[in-house]
Amino acid sequence: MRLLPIILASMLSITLFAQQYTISGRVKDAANGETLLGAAILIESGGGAVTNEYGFYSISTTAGTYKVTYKYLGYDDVVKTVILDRNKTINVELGEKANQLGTAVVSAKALEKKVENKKISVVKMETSKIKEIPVIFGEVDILKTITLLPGIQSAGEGNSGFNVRGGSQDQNLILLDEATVYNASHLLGFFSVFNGDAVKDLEVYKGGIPAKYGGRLASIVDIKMRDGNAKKFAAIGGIGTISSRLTLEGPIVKDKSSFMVAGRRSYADVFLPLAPDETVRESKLYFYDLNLKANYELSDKDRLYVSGYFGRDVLGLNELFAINWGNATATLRWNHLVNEKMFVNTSLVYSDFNYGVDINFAENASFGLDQAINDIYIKSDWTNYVNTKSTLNFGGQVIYHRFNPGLFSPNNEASSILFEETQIEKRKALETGWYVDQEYKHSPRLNFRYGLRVSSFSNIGGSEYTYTKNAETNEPISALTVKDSFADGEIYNTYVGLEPRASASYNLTTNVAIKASYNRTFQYIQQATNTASSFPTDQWFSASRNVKPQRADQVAIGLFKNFDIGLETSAEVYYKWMNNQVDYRDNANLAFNENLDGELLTGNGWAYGAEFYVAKTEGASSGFISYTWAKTMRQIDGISGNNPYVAGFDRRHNLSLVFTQKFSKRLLATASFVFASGQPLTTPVSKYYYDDEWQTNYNDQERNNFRLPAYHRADIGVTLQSKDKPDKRFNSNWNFSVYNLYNRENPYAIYFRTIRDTDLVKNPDATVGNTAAFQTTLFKIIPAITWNFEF
Amino acid sequence: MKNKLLIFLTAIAFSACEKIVEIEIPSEAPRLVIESQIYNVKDLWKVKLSSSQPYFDQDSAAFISTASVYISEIGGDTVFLNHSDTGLYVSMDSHQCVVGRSYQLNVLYQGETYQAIEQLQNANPIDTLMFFFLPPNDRSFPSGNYVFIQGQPDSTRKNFYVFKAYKNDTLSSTTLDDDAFGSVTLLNSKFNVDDILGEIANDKQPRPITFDVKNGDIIVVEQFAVSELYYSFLSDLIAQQNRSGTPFDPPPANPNNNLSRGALGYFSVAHKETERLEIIE
Repeated sequence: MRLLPIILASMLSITLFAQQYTISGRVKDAANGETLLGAAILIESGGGAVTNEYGFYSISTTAGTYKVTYKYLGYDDVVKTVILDRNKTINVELGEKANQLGTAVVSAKALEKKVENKKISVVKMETSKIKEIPVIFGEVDILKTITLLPGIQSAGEGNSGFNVRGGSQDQNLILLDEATVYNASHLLGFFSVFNGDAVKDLEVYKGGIPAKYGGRLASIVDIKMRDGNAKKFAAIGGIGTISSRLTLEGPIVKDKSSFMVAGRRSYADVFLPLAPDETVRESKLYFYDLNLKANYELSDKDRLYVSGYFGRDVLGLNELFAINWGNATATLRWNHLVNEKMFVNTSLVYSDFNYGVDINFAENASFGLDQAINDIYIKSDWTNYVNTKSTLNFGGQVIYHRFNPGLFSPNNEASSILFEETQIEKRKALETGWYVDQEYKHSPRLNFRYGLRVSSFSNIGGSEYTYTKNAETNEPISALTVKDSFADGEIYNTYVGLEPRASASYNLTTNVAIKASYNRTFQYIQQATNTASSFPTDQWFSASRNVKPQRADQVAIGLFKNFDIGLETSAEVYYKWMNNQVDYRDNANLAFNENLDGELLTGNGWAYGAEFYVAKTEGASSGFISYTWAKTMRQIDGISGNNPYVAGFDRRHNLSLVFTQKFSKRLLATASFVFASGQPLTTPVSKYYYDDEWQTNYNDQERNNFRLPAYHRADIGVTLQSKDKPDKRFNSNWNFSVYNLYNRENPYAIYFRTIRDTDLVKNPDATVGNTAAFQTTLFKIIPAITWNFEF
Repeated sequence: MKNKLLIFLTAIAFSACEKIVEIEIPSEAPRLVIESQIYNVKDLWKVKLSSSQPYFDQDSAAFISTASVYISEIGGDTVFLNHSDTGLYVSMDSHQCVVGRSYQLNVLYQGETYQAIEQLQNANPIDTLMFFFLPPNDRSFPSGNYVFIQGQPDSTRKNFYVFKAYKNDTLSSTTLDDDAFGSVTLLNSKFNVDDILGEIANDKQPRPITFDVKNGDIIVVEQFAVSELYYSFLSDLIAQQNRSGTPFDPPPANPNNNLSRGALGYFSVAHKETERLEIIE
């Protein structure tokens, strides 16, 4: 008993006398000054840290002399001896390893290679790796490439959308330097809007979503633009089959500030006049985009970043029809060090997506349709690096949403006779999110991360309909629809969501770890669509009195094991419960419907699956195999005879194989193969003769009762580097690729109808009036050449 | 109008890479198909019965001749229909429906009774059926002869109309109108027929029923005032027929009808008005 005061006293003395100090700073690439995120800082005696997205790190430990090692895969280690007798700022630049085989083998960062540092349900991909994987027309496409990874399923060919663990496409939050990108598609989804040359890093959270992120149910795709070379002026670019691109970057003030400008423009439309089909010949089809970024170091403690994106697509058919759409985002960020342990980033963000359709049917039938969604938000994220065991994150954001659901307007005076200008009422809403989250290292073996996010969504002003629906058809009854009006600026409806998040990780050995996570997410704005493709015209709905916010709960458990032969493997299983999922009622009226929210029905969803991944990231031969088994179901009263049905994007089996072979310093080849179960669709189950025509009888008791044939495809790519000229900065390479090597005719869509006179052109043997299945195929075999350069 | 244009144009974009494919799809047991419309005007009552068949079947429709069919006026008489030929059941005498009354169809087939009930809507007669010649104009609206009707909708309720125009006994157009859109309103009721060209010059465009008629043509227009359910049945049916794989397609589903036991088709009671016009230039 007399021992206790002694123990207490000795504990007290340790706390009292073992003075704590902090080492903090930034880690950068020596060649271009680009901050390195995810670099590891290790203290010889134990403990360490990883740099955040701005390259910042902070370690607090007791006074003493330490050997500190800075590591980043593919870079030479830097070791510093630090006498820690006061708080110290140590900025470090790491240089790339001289005898690298090239960027080819760099695919995972130093610490992430260790199983203990892999986050459950999070996947990352380096742009250098993405650039090697062949894609259609040789265009580097970060979104298409991540669909090769487990748990992320491509929404189909000609579609840059993807589905994560049974979530619909609109349940993915795509952030570009913190700004929401509402439509990530170029050319109706054949390409994504992200220029690979402008992107530094990409992280996808499929689960275990930190409390910092919110607003979408299924995933967060966090894309960061490069800062630009702070050491010297540089240019990279390429000339491809479809588009050309150029990126310029350089210091504004050497080592203190830099800029980057990246642009792309497609020119496929140049070749359209060569097409045999007249409609195609007279069409327009192009996109362009621009990424801008600059940063400026105000002081040791303050740094400003400005970044922006602007992109536009134009598609025109003859002179009849034109659609153009695009995103614009702008982010102003201020990094501030409150002290050595407290890092703050505050951002002001603007995001806009809009599209316009112009139809010029006749001189007096020329009109346009415009829609837009526009956000302004402010957010602030704080990190307190408490000690080597604990990091505390907290912050919040406030988003002001404005929706323009549609303006229909005649384009000239003659048309205004036939068509009235109609503006569907614009809507406004305020969304907020507040969070606190702690990363806690209980022991070298056991780590936790837990947090809580509180989100809210309020509808502001304007009017809202309350529908009474026909009990049988679920069609809103126009006579019984009530319109309530609210004062401008009045908050008339508010939802609040509590979103607990937690994950834990336990290292069985240095090479084996088991991890688990739980997260609840809310989503307040959503899209409804009746096709598998991501059309820019798909409308966003905000939560309202009619549309309740979506909620999901997900649990996941995973096993991670590395093998000494250079193999990384992982297996994860997950289960997800979803509420307030939306789908259109049968026979919904979708074209320019002012009361489109009246066509929605809500119900439950659930999804589960298993994901397997094996990768070899180093050596002359590298690659990965990814396999996902997944099932995603919906049950919505009023659809499918109230029976559960397979979601429209469910693909049971997904397999991807990617293999890269480095033959020499100059020659690299990549081959890939993808297989996915066919997409579900609702087929007729019989036909009947009515009104002197064949009519289709669908199975009302089972939506998505059938699957399209499976999707599969192989691609190859070869990259040939120019000869090394030590005296010259100019480097170039040729990339040759073949998409859909064995010319598989994968179905894009299948639909059923009677054969018309106009079908005889392509199907001379068909009988007009008979019923048939029609298939559209997008891409057969497509070879492409791209020339890339940098200096 | 504008919806159709959007659909049409998107369809063009997609048709470029379309082909007919042979696939095997699930099928279900045959279902009874009922097609019938009875009117306010005295006529034989007719009901057509057939059976649904596999989607890719190349046979003609499978007509049913073994059912018993009768139509009852609620609170009134019952009329029996007899099979005449190819699935067509016809009443012995002519009958006419009364506005506001409801009519029930009964079909006994293979031990099951299929039923439907519908009420006759009111409608005003067509005031005017006329044609006018639109000379070449600066609005690139095709020059030519337009036929249109004018009438007064029933102001006490929402009106749903189907128009069928026949040119020399051949159906030339079917038009659905529920006054959802337009500046001349349903049945051109706000249009001055005495000064058509003046009205057009005043930015009012009549809604034509048919176009491109020539001297000597006989035009017959049938106006049907129908129930809201039949109107949405017909417009949904047309939307499903015109599927083209575009985002404006409705989800694939059967239009809702008024038949019990999952029978396909519709039993419609419609207020019919007919006008005839000979084109004399």
